[in-house]
Amino acid sequence: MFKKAASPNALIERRFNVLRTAIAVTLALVIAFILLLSVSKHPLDDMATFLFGPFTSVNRFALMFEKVTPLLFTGVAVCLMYACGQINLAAEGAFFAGAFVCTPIAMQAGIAAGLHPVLCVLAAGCAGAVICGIPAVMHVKLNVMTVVSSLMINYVSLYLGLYLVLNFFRDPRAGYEASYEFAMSARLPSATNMANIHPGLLVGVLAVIFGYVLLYKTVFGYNVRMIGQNKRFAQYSGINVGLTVILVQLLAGFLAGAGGSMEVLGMYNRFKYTGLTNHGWDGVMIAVLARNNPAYVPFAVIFLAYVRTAADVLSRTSEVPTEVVKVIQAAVIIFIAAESLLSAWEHRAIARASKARLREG
Amino acid sequence: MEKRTLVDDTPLGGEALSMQHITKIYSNGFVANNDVTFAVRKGEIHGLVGENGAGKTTLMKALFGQEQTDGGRVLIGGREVKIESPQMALEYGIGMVHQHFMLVQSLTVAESMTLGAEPRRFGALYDFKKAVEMTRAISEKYELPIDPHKRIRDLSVGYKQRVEILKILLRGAKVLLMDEPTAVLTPQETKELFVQLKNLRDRGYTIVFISHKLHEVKEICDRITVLRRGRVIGAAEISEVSEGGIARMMVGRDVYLNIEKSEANPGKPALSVKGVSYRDASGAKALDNVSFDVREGEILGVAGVEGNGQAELSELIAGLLKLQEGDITINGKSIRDMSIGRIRQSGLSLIHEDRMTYGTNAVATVAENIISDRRHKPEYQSRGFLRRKAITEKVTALIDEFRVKCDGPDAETRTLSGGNIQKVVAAREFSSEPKALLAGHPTRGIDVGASELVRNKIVELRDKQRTAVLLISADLSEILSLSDSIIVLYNGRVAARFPDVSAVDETILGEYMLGVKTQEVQSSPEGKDGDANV
Repeated sequence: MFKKAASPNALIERRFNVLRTAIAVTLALVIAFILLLSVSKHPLDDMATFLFGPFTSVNRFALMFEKVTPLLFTGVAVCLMYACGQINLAAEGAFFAGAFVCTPIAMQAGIAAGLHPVLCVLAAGCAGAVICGIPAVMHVKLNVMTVVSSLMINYVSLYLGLYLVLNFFRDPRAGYEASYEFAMSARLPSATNMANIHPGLLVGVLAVIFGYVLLYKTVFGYNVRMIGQNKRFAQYSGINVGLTVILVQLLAGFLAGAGGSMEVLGMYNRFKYTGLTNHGWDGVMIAVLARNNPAYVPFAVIFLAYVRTAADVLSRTSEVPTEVVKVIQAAVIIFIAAESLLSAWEHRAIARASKARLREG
Repeated sequence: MEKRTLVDDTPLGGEALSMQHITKIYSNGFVANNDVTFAVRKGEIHGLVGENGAGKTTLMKALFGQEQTDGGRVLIGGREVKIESPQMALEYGIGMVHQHFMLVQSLTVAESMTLGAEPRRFGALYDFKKAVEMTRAISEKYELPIDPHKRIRDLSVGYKQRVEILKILLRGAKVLLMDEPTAVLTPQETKELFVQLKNLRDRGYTIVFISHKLHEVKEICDRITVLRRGRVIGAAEISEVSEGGIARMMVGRDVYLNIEKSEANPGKPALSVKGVSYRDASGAKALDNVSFDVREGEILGVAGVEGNGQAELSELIAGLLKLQEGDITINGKSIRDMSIGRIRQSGLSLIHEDRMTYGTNAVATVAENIISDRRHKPEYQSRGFLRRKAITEKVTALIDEFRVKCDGPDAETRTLSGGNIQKVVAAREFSSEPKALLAGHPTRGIDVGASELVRNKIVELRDKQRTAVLLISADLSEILSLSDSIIVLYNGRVAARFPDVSAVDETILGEYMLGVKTQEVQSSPEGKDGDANV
């Protein structure tokens, strides 16, 4: 019924997308190798370590998954906000808010083991929603730039959290700045003793599925995407832009906050953060790599966790300085995220095809 | 201060610059300029004329180095040059004043004038005094007085434009590209601008004047080049062409309209506009006490040269602009306090004139574009989940019915041609059983086949659904062949009403469109049938 080859431009674009990724990976690896050549006595061995490090032991492989859990939450959260065209950077603050708000609840003894973490996570989610929601409401009602307000709210979250924890929940016997211990009933047990693989990973996977279904299978998600892709089209079609924009950011904040609580309940026995954790920033990077689609978040997260673990292994087993390892890590990520690579070439190909069609009439 | 450019080497009346065989294709495959050849003589005001979307601005942006072309060459003073940036264009003596000014509101006039070429002290510090001096000198030289200390935000639109003109003169421009300079001006400001432009021409400057306002072109230009759909239709001395002649070149009469249409059988009013006035952000009156009814089963055509209030009228009806004075009702209900979603639910369908920004979401699929107004209806969703199978089925049927050439419901809309994108818009807007349809330039910039389909579907809606259609178009042959009755907008007012379309022709409409004639119209909403005197 349809002519399958009706849009040659789409074919050209598809071809360039594949080419782009292939070239990006190759370039990233070449640059990594050149950097290693300049600092390492055994560049080939070190390159192999960097490429396959996480697979060299079960322990290392498990450590990689420890890094995955929190990033699933922040990655999906940022995807949701970016899909709606909202450059909200408060996932960082929301994650942190989730961590400190669940602390006093987690310290309470005598709550049933099954219920306790659920209460913590719900409270943390609400705190995260508030943190991401404030810039959203300010943007819709007062036209405040979300980029600026969300950046600033991260500091509100950080210092409010530190103030509350250190002044009201601090355990003087801990020997360092930290809260009282969490009740055992609140903590998320690890499935293995090699690394902290806790139920949060499972919930994270559910968050990915939830994010994908919400964004691509529901009317709400449709509204979100239309607003993100073309706000004026959304308006003209009768979508309630303001309400949708606020709701999606509340939801994203909830996910990031919930992730924050699961991270502390799974990884630690007390609240011991002294600064922002970078999980929100990583979420931004993941959303960019995943092109705002939650379905791709696991791949982006595993890629990131893999590169980080590989870098850890490399810096522990070789003489390559940590700084160089970090540079290699950053270079690889930059190339994968590069979007306009080859765009001039692509444009020429499209122009040539269009001209050929003009000649044909 | 004065530097010589290639333009200076050209004798007065010689070819100052020419663009040859220019082709510009955007990354979505849209051909904005197709083998355009365009030449300007030194010391003339050259009108670059055409409808919106004809490719005028793109061509000038290419000349100013803001767009890179995909073929063709540019000659200045007979020598081939490659202009890759506005900076380079200015070095060749070409300056551009954009339709939307490129000014920083918080800077002073002197700072704005020297932005990008700041006078410096000790090589590093900004020399404000010198900037003020330079501003004074240039404004005196060209007799365009301006206060160098005033902030841009405190200037009227006319003075902001003056800053832009002086700025490029200061940078040594000998050729001024003016992109629809009068679009934002009041009639008095326009008059003043024309005096200034003629003054500059008499000093040997060359001006390219982009416009679609025929009387202005006729008044100020020495020669014109007409563009249509990215191609050059022709160039002429202004004395050789009439306004009507230019209009014919702009909109084209070569399209044979094949519309089968029976006599209308109008019922009660479905869409009413009552005493609507609207002032735009700059305070200019875009609409002045406009009233009319569109009845069930009737197509009311709104004729007029673009920029006479049509855009504001359609955005007010759509709910994209807030009503200021007067009221608009759909089936008797006022839309004053309705959201756009509510307006659509009360039975209004809209074809927005800007189909790439409002009409469609280019990066979404055809299916996603078609369900945008009906996503919440039970046929398309249950409990908040999209019913994918039902959507695919319904969209596939619409693709067939409207003969949209695409890879199927999941094809990305931007990969379609302009005509097919408009068919997607039509498929959505015509299939929602509308009580009233607002069709803004429904066939602009699309091919003959698509135009014919859209026009026939409009007539079908009128007959089968008894939809009240408000047709806004700059294409007179479209207005005359589709409408049952016609109103003419001129300067934001209803200049004429023709209840019977058979009593008018292009000449009569043209006179009202260009403001040569006006009917004395009492703007009461009921007065519509009584006061037409054809």
